Amino acid sequence: MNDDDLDEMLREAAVPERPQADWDRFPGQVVLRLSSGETRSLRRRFWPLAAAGLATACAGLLLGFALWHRNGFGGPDGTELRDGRMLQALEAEFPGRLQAIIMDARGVRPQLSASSDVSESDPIWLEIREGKERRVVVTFSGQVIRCGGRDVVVLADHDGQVMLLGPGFLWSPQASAGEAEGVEIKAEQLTDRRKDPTKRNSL
Amino acid sequence: MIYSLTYRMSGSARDAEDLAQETFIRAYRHLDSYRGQAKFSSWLYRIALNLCLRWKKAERRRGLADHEWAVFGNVPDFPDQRSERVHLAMAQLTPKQRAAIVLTFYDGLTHAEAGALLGCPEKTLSGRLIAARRRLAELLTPGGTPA
Repeated sequence: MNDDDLDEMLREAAVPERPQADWDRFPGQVVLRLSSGETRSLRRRFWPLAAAGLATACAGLLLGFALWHRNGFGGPDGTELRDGRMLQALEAEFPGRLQAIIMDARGVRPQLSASSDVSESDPIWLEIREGKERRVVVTFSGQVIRCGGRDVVVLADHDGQVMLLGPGFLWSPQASAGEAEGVEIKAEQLTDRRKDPTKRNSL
Repeated sequence: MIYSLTYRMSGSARDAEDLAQETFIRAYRHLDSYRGQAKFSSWLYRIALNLCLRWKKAERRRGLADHEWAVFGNVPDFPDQRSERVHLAMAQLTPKQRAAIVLTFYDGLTHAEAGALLGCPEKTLSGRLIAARRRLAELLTPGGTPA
């Protein structure tokens, strides 16, 4: 068999297609595994390596701790959040399930819905300072986030005015009441570049 | 893209899905290590590839993987016999040879890019590729015995 014949055979070898239902189920299964706290379903196949892995992990943790101490916290500077790449990438991977992206001292993490029920709307940028803690949250109108030690709903009206509302908590750019008085919040509704890719905004 | 990679590397629909799910879970947990220097999809691809290579290594240590891959690996319905023959021939390659084929042939990476992803020099990658192609040519020549 010459190179051309081999190339042709390889090129024509298709990966067996999976039913669409499998793909529809896929994001839900990922979210389920995440919410159940499962680290890996492959665990059962890796268990013989657990002892060796543990030793390596301990060495890695020690090294990581030493480097962390030397370099300080190496979290992202929020560039990927600001330019919208992370939002777009995560929405593409988890369509209809991305509730928020949260960036704080622990790093960046998405908040995902168990079902694909997150409606598409313009993203909202929130910068929240509570005491010494600073968080940036990119979310959407109607989503619930933690703020002031409680769950609050993020709302935006047609004019782009943002409001945070929860039990004993009311915040808007003009006024705040209840627990919101102890929290410093900056909010901005951002134009969604998914709808007009030529527009640039601060996301 | 991720599923194609995990399928071609694992040879099993069940494991490919498991590995694809694990890829997204790893990405979720380590999102703060994504620096935006590469495309998000490339970052995911790298996670998936590393998982596949580690998975293969663990399976091989148990001495079951390739046997299961080729014989019991819940072989799905292939669109044609030719695809199935290639699937079985790929099973005869070492994981590193298989990765070289998948990255360069199916995903169009240069030898240098594939070498960088696999953590080996370009020449090493080229050597693996030559060996993999030679083996595949033997196995896929009529009269070859892939399984």
